[in-house]
Amino acid sequence: MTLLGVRNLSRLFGGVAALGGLDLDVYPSEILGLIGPNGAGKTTLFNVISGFFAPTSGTVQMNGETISGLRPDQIAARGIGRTFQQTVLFMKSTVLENIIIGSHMDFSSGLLNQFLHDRRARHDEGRIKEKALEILEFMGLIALKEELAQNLPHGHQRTLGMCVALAADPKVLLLDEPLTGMNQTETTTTIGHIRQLRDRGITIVIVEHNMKAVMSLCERLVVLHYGQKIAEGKPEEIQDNPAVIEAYLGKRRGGDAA
Amino acid sequence: MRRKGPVVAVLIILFLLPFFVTNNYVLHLIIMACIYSVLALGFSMMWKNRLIMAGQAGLWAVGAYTSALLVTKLGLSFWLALPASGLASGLFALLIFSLALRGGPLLFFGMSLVAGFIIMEVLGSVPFFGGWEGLLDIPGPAIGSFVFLGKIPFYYLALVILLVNVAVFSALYTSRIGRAWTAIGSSPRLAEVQGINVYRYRLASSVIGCFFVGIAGSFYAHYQNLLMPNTFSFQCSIYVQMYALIGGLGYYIAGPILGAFVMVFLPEVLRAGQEFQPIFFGVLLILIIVFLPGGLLSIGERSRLPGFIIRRFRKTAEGGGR
Repeated sequence: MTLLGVRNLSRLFGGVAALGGLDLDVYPSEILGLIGPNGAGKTTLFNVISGFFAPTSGTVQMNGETISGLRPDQIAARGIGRTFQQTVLFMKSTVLENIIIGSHMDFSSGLLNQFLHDRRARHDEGRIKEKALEILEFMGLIALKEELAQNLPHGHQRTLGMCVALAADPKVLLLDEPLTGMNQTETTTTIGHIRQLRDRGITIVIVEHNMKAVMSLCERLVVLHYGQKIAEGKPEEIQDNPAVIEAYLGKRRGGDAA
Repeated sequence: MRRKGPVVAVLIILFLLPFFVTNNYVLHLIIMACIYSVLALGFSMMWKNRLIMAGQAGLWAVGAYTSALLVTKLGLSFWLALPASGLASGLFALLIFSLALRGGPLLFFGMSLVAGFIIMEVLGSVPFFGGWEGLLDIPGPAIGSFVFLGKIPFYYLALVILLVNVAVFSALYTSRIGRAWTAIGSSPRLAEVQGINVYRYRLASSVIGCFFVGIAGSFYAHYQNLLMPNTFSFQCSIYVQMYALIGGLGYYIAGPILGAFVMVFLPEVLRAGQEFQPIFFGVLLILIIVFLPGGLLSIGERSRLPGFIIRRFRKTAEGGGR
């Protein structure tokens, strides 16, 4: 049973194929690792799935429904959340506000309720604030809730990025290099968080260059190279795959790879 | 809701103001500052999601001429023409910006700029609108047999328009809608990922902003009793932007109002010659951008102002800029 399906997906930039006929299945409640050398098309894939780029050909399906061609906000509404490779936050807002803003889709009171700030709107606000606090508690940022996002250290900013993504209640969460620039402790904590999110039923797709982390975290890996899938399987299978070694290290001159 | 006391005090002062200010000219300046505040508030609302509105004067003119024509040609009551001109400006904004925003913020800027120019040219060139000589004999508002005469009733009307505008904008800014605007202004990319329809929220801000600009136009037409196309020039749009900038772009309610009042009263205080005013404003604007990029309201927030100025100055002197 596929939750998120990528079917024969291509994306060209000029004449260069960042993605060339890619097929990918993401199954419910798994942690899927997406690896490959720089320029393999990992981030492009995320950008196509989340609607920032339209595919040149092929489709993306969520629960069997085609979502490619929709706007990013429509795709978000179908339960796909993401973080960015760079730190993207609402920098001038506090940590708590970041998450409340991120909960945009969760408000059930109408425009008029909102405008009049009546009982229904206030109830809504209370509920969302509670949810935001719960997310902060879970991710360990609760003590910093009144800090401005721009004043946080880098590691906390990355964590906050994940908090904001969680605020949208995603079914699938695309994490683009979540461990970049983190120290060993932060890396361990974040890996723990990602596992817990999966246990809460959120499907995780992760792009990451920290191989040690990827190998321990992911149950399944997909290796991309020049926009194509060159290998797929359990971490230990991937490690010894000659095509993967070649993609990362290049071909041994003259001799055979083994 | 939290700070009721000061708000009530300010309201009382504002409503008693005509009893202290007996000079008609000063009252006229206050009335104009109220109207300019409305224009600048609209600009700020669009700026909140990082849209630069460069044709505020044009949309102001749409409201003013709609109201004037409805009253003079169709004999409509001012009190109906007032909301009608708000709707006219709002619809006009919906029409042009629903197209422009498909191309993003840059096209919005360009389109609003061009719209401002075109509106002024059309108003001046088409005889139906009174031509460059203007539209004359626009009657003032009346309630029953009470006709608005002198400055005081107009002051109260301008004040009510400004207060309603402030109340509506404050309510919007603290709601989910305002939060979405903040999100878009901060990072449109992240806003989209969180499920915010950036196009629609940006369009809403421009339509709501222009609605109140139209209302201000209607007031202006019946206050001045005549309309000249040259009033709604590009220079006027630039001034509106300056009000918001001088007050402080980060202060979406207080900034535009403070900026408008300062810019209306400062030339009077300095008694500068009319011909030197643009030079004076230009210098003031440059000084504010260099030394107080957060606007006048940011003075209170920066307790470390001197050090900040020195650092900024050193940077500028070294040619580092920004």
